[in-house]
Amino acid sequence: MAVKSFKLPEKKKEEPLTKKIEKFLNIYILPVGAIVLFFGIVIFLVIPKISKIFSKIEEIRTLNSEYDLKESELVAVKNLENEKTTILGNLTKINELAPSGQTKVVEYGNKIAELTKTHNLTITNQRLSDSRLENASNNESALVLREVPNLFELQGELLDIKQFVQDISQLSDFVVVEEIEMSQVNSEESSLWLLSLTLIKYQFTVQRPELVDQLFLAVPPQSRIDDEVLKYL
Amino acid sequence: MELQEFFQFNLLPKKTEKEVKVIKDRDESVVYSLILIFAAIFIYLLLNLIQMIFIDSKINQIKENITQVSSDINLFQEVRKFNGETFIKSILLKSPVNKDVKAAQLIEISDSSIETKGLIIGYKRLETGEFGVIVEVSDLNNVAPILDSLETKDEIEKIVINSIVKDPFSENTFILDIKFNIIKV
Repeated sequence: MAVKSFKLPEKKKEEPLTKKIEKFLNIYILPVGAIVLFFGIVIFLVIPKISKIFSKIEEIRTLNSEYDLKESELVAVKNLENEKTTILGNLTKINELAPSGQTKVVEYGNKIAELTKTHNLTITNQRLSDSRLENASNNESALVLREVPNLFELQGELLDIKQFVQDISQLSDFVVVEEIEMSQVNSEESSLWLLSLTLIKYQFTVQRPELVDQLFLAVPPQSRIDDEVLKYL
Repeated sequence: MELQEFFQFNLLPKKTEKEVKVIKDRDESVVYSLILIFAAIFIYLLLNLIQMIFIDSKINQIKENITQVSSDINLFQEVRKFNGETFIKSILLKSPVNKDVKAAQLIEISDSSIETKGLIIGYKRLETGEFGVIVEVSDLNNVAPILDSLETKDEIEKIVINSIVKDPFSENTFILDIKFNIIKV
């Protein structure tokens, strides 16, 4: 006797909507979720990572150029070391031109006073004025150059005065004649002349000692002493 | 064959072709979905790996080099300070050095220009940086030769006659006031 399978009668009735949605979700929830996750990973992880990689490549470029600069700075610094003796020599001369202390300024005034005596000139007036900032100096800077004006009014023979002016120029000290006026004494029988002279002595002043080293170190090692000053030295 | 048919007995209804296709599609989409996620994660990990192996190590290497060079530079701090000081002081001194025309130069230039054409009765250097000479001349015809003589000097420029006045104390005597600039040659 043959055993036969039998079929249950097919249900013809329509599936309810909730059942349909559930069935749809059962089938498509995973792919949809996977796509969302995929885009999530791309948007929140991959794209930021790519942009980070590009910014790091840019950082490499910046660091490379910084490295090149440092390398050339090292070469320049090594050159400086080779020129150390010259640099120190120039610095000593500059410090003689414009000393840092007040003593040299007073000494210079005394030197001039001595010179007048050797030329038979009479000092009718001598005044050391308050120092003032040189035009090129910035008041905020750690190091400034100050001008110390020294006024002399002298009286004597024309030849003596001319010789005196000549001898001032020969002094080793660096001074600038700011004002000079030579005129004959207004008297018919007198051969005397009057000399009014304002001499400027220069003085370096450290205004902010805590910043002065930083100021010097900030100068690029490729920089050198100004040509005109070097020529003068 | 008969036995097989015997085991085919099932209480569940046989799935329709449509249902079988849906299930097959679902199975495939699960695989593709997983591949998609793994691909994204793989790309992310690959990028991380590239960053770590090639980029970060390169950055660290350059930074190390920079630190090394910087410390080499720091060994020369003393000479850098001297050079900085020399440079800054020379810049500050530039203007005074240019102003430093010796007073003796004024006298020398004036004397050699005027010679016997007149009598110098005054020299001056003004606060403006200009120089001046006051000359007494007995004849106005001597003024032009004096100016010509000054003009020939390389150290002098911008010659200006400030004034010519008749001397109130002397007949036929004129006071000539000349201004000029002395430049460094």
